[in-house]
Amino acid sequence: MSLQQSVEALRYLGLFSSLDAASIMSPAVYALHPEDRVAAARSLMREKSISGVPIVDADFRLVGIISVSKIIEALADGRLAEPLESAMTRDVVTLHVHDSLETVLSYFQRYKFGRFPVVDEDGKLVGMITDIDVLSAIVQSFYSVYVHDRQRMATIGSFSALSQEFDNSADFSYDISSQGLDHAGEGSARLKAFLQSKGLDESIIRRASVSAYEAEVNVCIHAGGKGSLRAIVRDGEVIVRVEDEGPGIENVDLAMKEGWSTAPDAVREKGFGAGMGLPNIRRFSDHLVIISGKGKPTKVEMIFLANTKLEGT
Amino acid sequence: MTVQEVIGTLDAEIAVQADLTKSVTHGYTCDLLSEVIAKALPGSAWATIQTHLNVVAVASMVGISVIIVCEGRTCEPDVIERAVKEQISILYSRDSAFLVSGKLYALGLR
Amino acid sequence: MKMSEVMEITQATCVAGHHLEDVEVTHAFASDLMSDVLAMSGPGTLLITGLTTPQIIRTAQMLDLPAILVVRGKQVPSEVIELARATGVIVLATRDIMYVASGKLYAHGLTG
Repeated sequence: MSLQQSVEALRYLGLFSSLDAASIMSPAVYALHPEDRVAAARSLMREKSISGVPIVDADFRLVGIISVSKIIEALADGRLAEPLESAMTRDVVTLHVHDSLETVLSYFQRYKFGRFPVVDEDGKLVGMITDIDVLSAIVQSFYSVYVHDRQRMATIGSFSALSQEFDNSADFSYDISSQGLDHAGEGSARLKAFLQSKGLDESIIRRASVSAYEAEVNVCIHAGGKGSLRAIVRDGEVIVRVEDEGPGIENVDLAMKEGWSTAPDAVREKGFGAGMGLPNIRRFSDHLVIISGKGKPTKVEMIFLANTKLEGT
Repeated sequence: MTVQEVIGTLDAEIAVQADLTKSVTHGYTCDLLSEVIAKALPGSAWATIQTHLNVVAVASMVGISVIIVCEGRTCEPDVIERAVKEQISILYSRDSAFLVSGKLYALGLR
Repeated sequence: MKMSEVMEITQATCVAGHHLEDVEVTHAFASDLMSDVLAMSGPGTLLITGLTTPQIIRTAQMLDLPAILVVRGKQVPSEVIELARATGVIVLATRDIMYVASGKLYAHGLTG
């Protein structure tokens, strides 16, 4: 599979759609000014073990970059005491904060540079991206995807992280709009009534509504109460998708741990936020996908199969 | 009643062993820490499913004789460490808080 | 155990629901954490809780729990009573603390 094909596959799975240059880059950047001497760049590179230093003006706008090879040239010509202006590359290939992972990867492939400066709308330098940054961003984003699946793990070849059906329509749809806990559960109550109207088995209705309820409570506690609750019923199977607008789960693996919670004490005193919501959803669902990340929307999709008995009951 | 007798009654596992001869004079069942602070009496056996660090702090503040963690839940090492430091016994019971309450109440612990 | 017996044993008042003679529970579950209830309880269980938020009704509704016993003498807010009526969940309230209410009901034969 070519890099291009791989990137397309990733996009299809929706796994890295939340990664952009801003989330990939190292924000702590060493930079120098054009009037600094070449020698300053040399010692900075040696000290920080870096192979290129961006050059910025007084407003932190990117004006050039100096690489190891340019330093070596300057050293050979005895120009170490001269200002960087005379040695730097002015024609810098930059990435923009909103560039996607695909763009970032294509830059590495096309330009063969070891690093790219990242600039914002005003052309100001906000970070640098090296291949290591890309790799660690991808590894970290795996922390933001949780998949629990009893049935489909074996056929991971044909695996799709999220159901495509929701792209078109849903059989049930409810807009969650309730900050705090007072109205949390209204959507799930309606979902339960809807599932009952479909004549489904009591057990699958209970598992789906309890899980939807936990997910709805999460939206109300953690995501400012703004989100959607949708469901599809298909051959006795129920698919429930709850989405919000962020601020996202930084580490989904941790959030899946029973007892782990970021909820404030006020929420705990109202009987939620004890770190059992997602574990409960895992307990009751047959298939669970969570896609999230720090500062990102959260998508929770649960599939309930007919005839699955609850553990322990 | 002593902590040791509570252990025998509930067939509970000892997670933190402080003074097992300590007297237990009341029972209290609650998962809301602010309620426990406000209402639980010193000398109580406290049944809960909460397992976070604040549980030990609250127990210590109130003068709880023994914490009974219900439903087969277990505490993280930092909670255990804190309880050892504060000298508060913690028991693990597989029973629900309802059953733990029922069994202790049946022995006359009010 | 009939709900009318639960009332008698814990000297509870009925704040929502009727026909208490006709509704029976065999199990009880005592908790202030609704996620715990959601994880552990099944239909036909009496929920004993010190919470009085709308979430206790929603939890009962999701799990098909017929009734809730509110402990610690908590006043049940009117919107919660309304929600209970709308969803058909019985709500009783007792001055007993959770420990005592559980103790009495266990002694009268309710199981966990």
